[in-house]
Amino acid sequence: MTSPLKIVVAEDSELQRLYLCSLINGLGFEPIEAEDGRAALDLIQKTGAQILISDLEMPHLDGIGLTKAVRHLDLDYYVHVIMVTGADEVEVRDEALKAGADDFITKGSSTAMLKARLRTATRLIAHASELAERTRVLKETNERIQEDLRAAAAAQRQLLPNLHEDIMGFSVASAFVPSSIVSGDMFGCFELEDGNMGFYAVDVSGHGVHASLLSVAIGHLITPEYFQSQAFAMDGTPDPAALIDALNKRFSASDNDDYFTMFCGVVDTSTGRMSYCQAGYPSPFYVTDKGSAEPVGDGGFPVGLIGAASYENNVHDVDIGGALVICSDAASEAENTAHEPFGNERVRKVAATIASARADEIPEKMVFALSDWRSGKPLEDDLTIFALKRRTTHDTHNHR
Amino acid sequence: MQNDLNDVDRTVVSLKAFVDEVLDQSGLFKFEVCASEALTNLVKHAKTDDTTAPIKIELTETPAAVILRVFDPVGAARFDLRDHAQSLDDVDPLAESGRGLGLIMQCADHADYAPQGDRMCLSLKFSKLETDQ
Amino acid sequence: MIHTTTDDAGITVIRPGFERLTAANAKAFKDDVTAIIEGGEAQLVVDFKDVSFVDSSGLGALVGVLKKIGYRGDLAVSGLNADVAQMFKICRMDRVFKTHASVNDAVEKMAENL
Repeated sequence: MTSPLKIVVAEDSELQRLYLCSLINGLGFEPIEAEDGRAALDLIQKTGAQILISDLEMPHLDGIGLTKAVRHLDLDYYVHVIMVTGADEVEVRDEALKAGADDFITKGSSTAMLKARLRTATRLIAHASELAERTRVLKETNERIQEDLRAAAAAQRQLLPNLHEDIMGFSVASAFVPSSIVSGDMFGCFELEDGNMGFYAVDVSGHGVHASLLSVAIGHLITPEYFQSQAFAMDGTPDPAALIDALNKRFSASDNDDYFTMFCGVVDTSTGRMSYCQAGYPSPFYVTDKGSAEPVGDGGFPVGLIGAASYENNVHDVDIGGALVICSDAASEAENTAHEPFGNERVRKVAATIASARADEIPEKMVFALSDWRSGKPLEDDLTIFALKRRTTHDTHNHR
Repeated sequence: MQNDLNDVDRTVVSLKAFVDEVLDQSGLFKFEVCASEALTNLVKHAKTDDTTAPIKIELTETPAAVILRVFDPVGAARFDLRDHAQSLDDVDPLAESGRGLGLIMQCADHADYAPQGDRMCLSLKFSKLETDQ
Repeated sequence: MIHTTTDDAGITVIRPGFERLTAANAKAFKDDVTAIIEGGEAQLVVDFKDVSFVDSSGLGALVGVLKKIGYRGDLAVSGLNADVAQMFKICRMDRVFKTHASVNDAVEKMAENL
């Protein structure tokens, strides 16, 4: 400690006070004289002293009263209170302890005793200030991390398209609800060459910063150009499995345990034929214009676990008025207060309503249904909802 | 007691005889040291015009303690505590004086120097119980 | 009032000659011992065997004597009773003076160092 610790010495006997101050001074502390309890209370507040040595009997405010008063002060540090009692005043110590005294010394006790007591006090004060400092540093660090996370989340959201538009005769809409500030979900939807539309949804295992970093990397990687170059065979036929295969080889190569599930599709906007590849992502629901909803796909292996995994293409036709609703597993797995999951059936029922609604109403409906299910409690996993609906009239004027 | 150094020892011995039965061995030693230092201090330092006036001493006993009161002569200047109430640790080991009050403070269970009536009084308390010294 | 004996080795043993070495006689004690030092003796043992009480003035006189000897010789004390030893201790004088249980011990030790 750089400057000596201040000690307020409350003692009405001038002789006793001066002597105690001399002892304290000799021990390397800075004594502050107080001729009674009232003066001591005042000096504690004015000087910021963290140690009080107090006599029991004093005019105006006695030692017990002073201790109580000190404990009622709204200080942001602790004042260590040492009571000076006579050898014949042992029974009063209980009362002093109740009032908040920390320690005792006997009048006329040796310098060594005083030294030991003050060493204890010093240690406690050093410990307290160390703790306070540590807490301050932790708080500061935490604030910085939170700020970084907010910045990261903002960066991530910029990558996530907020889809409320028409692409090549399809209405597309999305919603995204992160469980923590940053999330492991990523999705995209683009216009490709030759009247094709490409889309994908990714859910990185786990959530938080780690998952988020990977999802951002994927988001940056899958540009429309990348999609175009990877998701088609040499002869121009859609091959979304090739895109997923490329990603799988790339992310299996790294040493970490990160992996993600994915659903990726290419829609020929003129025929409505959708070529898709499912890699562990929950099956989307295909909803007919009559309102019947059926899951599309039968699973598939996640991406980035095993480099040798193979992925297959499948096709599904999207008829006029038909729609596809993609939901991350946060929807079906969302539990209510009774720990009952929302389940695929409820997801399906909400998805089915798209038949008589606009595409951009579905993500919001799903979010409300889940919020209702969870009685307003936030989700435990990131939620992505992505809906596309083939418009009844092919309006090519909506090309971007 | 006469205001004379030569009367201090006799007085201390007779005061000690009064408390002989009351204080334990360690208490007696402390009492003797304090009485001796207090009386010597008074004779040496208390300025008075009338050195023939006897020094007033009071010895009282309470259930828990013995209290010795030594009165300054009437009109004597207050003893300057600030210069003398220092710990024995602060006294230069090779100093030939200046230990009196430090000794008193270390040996008495409680000490006070305050006006009492028309003069200053040094009162020293000696507990009958063992202290943790 | 002090009694002194000097042996062949030149070690002088001093007995204060008072039962109480206090303010009343401290100055006389110091003056007497000073005279001995000035007479050429510098190896001194003060024997407290017959002293029952020493006050701060008595200790002060002893410190004065020690300073008088300075580097010329040595000063040791012996035969402190419990109270006197305690007094030395409280005043930190046990760190200043060599103390010995008996005058013989003191003389012996001092002779060894001559």
